[in-house]
Amino acid sequence: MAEPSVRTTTSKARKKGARIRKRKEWLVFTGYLTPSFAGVLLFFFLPLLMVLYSSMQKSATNTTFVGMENYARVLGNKAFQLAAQNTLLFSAMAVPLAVLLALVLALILNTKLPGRSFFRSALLNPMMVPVASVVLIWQVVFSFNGSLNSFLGGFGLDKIDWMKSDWSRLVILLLFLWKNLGYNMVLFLSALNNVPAELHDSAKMDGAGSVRRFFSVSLVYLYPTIFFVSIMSLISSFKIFREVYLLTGAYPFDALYLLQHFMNNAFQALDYQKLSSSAIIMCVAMIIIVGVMFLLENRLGREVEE
Amino acid sequence: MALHAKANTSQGLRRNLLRGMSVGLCAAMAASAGACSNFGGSGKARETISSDEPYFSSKELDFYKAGENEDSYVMSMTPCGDKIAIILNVTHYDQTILKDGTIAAAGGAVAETAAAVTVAKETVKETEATESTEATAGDDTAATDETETTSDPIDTGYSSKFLLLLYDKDGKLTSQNEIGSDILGDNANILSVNAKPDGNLAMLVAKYDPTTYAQENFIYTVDESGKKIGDPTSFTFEDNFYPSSMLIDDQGYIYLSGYADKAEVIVLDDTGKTVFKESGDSLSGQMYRIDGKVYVDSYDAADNYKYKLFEIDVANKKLGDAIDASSIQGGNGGQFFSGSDGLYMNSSDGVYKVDLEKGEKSELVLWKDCDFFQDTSGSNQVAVLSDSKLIVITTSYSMTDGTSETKAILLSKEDKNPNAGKTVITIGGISLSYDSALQKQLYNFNKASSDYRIEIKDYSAGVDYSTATTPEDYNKIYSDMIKKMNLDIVSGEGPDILYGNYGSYDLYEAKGLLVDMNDLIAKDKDFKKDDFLSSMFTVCETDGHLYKIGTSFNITGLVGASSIIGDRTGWTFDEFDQVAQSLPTDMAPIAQSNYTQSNLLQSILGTSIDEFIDQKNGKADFDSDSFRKILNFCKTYGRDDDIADDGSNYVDEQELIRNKELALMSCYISDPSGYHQLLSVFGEPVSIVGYPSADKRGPSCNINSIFAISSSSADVDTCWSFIKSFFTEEAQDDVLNNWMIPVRKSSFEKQIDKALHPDENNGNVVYYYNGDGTNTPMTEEEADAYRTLVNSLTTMTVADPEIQAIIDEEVPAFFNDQKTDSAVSALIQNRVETLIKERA
Repeated sequence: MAEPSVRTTTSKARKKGARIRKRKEWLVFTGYLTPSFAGVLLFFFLPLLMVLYSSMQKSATNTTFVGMENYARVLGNKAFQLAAQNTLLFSAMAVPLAVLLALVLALILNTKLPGRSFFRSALLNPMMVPVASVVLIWQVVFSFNGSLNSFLGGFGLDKIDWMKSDWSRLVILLLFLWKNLGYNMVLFLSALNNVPAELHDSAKMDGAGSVRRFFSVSLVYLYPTIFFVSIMSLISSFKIFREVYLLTGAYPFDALYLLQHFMNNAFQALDYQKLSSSAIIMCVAMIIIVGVMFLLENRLGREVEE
Repeated sequence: MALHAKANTSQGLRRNLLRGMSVGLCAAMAASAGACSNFGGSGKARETISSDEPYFSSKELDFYKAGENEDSYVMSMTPCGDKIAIILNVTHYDQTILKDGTIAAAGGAVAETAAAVTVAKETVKETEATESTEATAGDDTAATDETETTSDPIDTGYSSKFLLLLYDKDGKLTSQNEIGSDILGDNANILSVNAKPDGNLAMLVAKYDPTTYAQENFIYTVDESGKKIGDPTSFTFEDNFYPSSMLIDDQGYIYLSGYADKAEVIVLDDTGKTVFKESGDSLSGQMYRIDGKVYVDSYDAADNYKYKLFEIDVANKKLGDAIDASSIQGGNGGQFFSGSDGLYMNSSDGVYKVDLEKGEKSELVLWKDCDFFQDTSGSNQVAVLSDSKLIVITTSYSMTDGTSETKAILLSKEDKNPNAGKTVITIGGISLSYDSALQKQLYNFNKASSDYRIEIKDYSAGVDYSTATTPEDYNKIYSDMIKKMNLDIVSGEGPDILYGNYGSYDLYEAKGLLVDMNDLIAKDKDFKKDDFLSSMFTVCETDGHLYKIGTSFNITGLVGASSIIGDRTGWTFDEFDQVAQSLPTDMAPIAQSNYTQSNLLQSILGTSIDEFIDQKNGKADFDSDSFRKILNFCKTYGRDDDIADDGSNYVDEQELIRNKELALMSCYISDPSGYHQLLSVFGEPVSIVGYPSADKRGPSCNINSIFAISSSSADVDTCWSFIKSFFTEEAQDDVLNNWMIPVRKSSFEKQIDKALHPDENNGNVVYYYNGDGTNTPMTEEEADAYRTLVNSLTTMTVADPEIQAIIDEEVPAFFNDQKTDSAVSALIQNRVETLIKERA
């Protein structure tokens, strides 16, 4: 008779011990989580809510709730429309090019090309150059009295105002690719090295050529990296404002006027409502774009797994 | 069962965890929302003064009262034992009678070159009649500019004396004694005064030989009563060293600073023998005694003119290492001075105790915590009696009659602030501490108000200019000050009243940050718009709203003889070109070498930029023939921007006009006498015109003293009552002090009356000479023309720094022939239109 009682006692003790252990785990878990949780709340949620709140105020000194009025004002602003159009156009050109060219470079440098270590280093170099230096170099080369126009002048060609004409988009695209290709290429090189060699060997034994092997084997394994590189390039394409601003100021030639120009100028003009609402609009647009990319990645990922 | 229980426990834990996170997030969001509700509140909270805030009461001390035709000047304020010794130089001017019988006022002459004797009835060779008349305005150099002499004498007698005043630690004047020629001898001038270790005063005295002007230097010793002690010590220096300042340390070493070939410091022992000397271009010669050591200051030319102090190391016979005091001084002119217990600094916002070792300064008193009127156009000297008592000697000058008044004020720190409970209203701007008119009205308001106290929020206070090396650095510092002010204003934490012209009013108006003062005027029975010049309201109003109001203004434009440029107030570019082409071959339309192409462009756009901007519809019109005409006009009539502006290009436009070599000159009219003088240059009817523009705009109005009220202020009516004080007859009459045109009709008419009847209104102020050397009062016809000019003003000079920056960046390519006017105007159009669209 004593046995069940002992068993019950042991079971209770065990349960109690488990509860204590779980509580301890919970406390440890909470303890570790709290600082970052607080940080996220303080530095992410609070500012986000303040921006959201500000975007629905009449003005900084008149806190009357105006609903979506500021959003309508921003969406109807021709400068915002121009900036959004330019930003999207630039990203649409820059991101695919940054992915494709980096992939091609990675494939080339993944072969037994003589001096490939040097090329890898050389392509990574732009990442290490400070923005101010990059801007200075670009100014020297592409200004109206710059070295490129001097060079072209040697062939009897007219000067081109590279930074203040439709050519400016191309110049900035070149700058973006020059600065970002190396990083993307390293990511692709890393991914290429993770493609199982035996798959390539078996495909080779099955008679697949190098092109077929790339599309049927390598590319399948590269999808997650392509997705990651695309996301990073998209983010980088939005960050090109820094270079454009340093090169051309707050009000550049209209082809270079980006969304961050609009927001930065709104800040300078003390129009926090315009700034907040345009930031929220841009945030929503980014969420949609990245969301679509995630959906595509999920679908492609499932296909790979199958 | 156990597994099931375990799973349940695990699920429960996860559920609790998720609940906890959810609650945490909700709490954070609620807190965020709470924080948001305070973000940019709808109004500025009232601030009241508490009884423990510092306050220094003011008491006027006994001080020498200058008599009629007298000027007094504080030579030195020196701690002397437990007293403060003040040496005052008093100069009495005999009235100067010109040969035509007019009486010249005596104010403005420099007293420091005067000897301690009467230089009575000295006959000076008279220059041309024109130059002798200039001398009546107090210009003591005019007589030296002689080209032709006559035998008619001019009486320029004056006498000078020195007084020694001693104040005790309570600020009581214990003695006032004259140090006259019986002590110093003839032709003597006290250069510097210092306390000796024994408590007596040592005076550095320069004596001049009136015929050879050779200088001999002496040190006299006097006791507190001004009685000479012993014989003076004479000094002669081999290298033409002219001492200007002296200091004596506890060991009796005498430190002299002055100038030979370059700035020099010489140390003498108590027998007068030179111990060592040191020279340097950067030494500026002020010496300070700090903790028994003596320091000399310098503005280091090799290091961006940073303010540095060097210890004068007598033991090692050299200057010590440089101590960089530029950050303490702030680069904006704080004056260091020695107190009995160390170094102090007198700055625009107060007095600070300086700790050189730590490189720090600490507030002793801020002027905002005092109630006495400081005329910032004059000078203030300070002596520290203790941490809670100071003596301020303040001198104010009157531009209207040339007189000065010096007062000694004792500032005493009170245990409890007598203004406790008063509501604080702030007036904000840049460099407001230097504005005399503002200081006067602040003093009057604060003295009279039992409920409010207005304090200055000067955005230039404490700004360190010492790091700036280029004009761009200074511009950056200025724009940072503006930015800080803008951010304060937009966040609702800015000043209640804005004062000054910073080019930001359009922005404030667009954001609804300013109060429409028309509403305040409408309900104010004391303020009648009809009492003021209508043109002031015309130029200040925006779409019928009076968000800003100016207290005074001046007029700029071009002036030319009507016989040459026609009877007009404005013109188009084509009309200007027609006139220019019709001029004789030896007559230029404008003095090209005085205006760079860019300056000319800025001047033109300053009055007509709105022609190219349609803010409402977000459109710009720079890619137009009208703008290209401006570009070509500036290129044709302006000086090449690349020619260095070292002043050598400048030509005297008046001289060219008189010689019939120039048709138009720039004009800057700040009073009717200036207008009258302008007419005198031409000697015939003139037309005052604006710069060419498509719609023939007239001359423009510059307003610097602009007031506006923040819409976030909780005390708008009080703000208005303060602003209103600048429009009273008395305040408007004082506008002449700033060489501006008052906006009150009665004061405006008084100015005209002075110009019409100069003999009855002190000829010193309104007497100007004609090109032919004759003096004539303004005529009634001229007065009517002046009234018409002022009343017809419709344009205010405005700057749009953002648009101007784009234009300034693009136009050099056209001026330098690198791009065509079409290419440049298209580029400007492209960039400015983005800006305009953004603002729409």
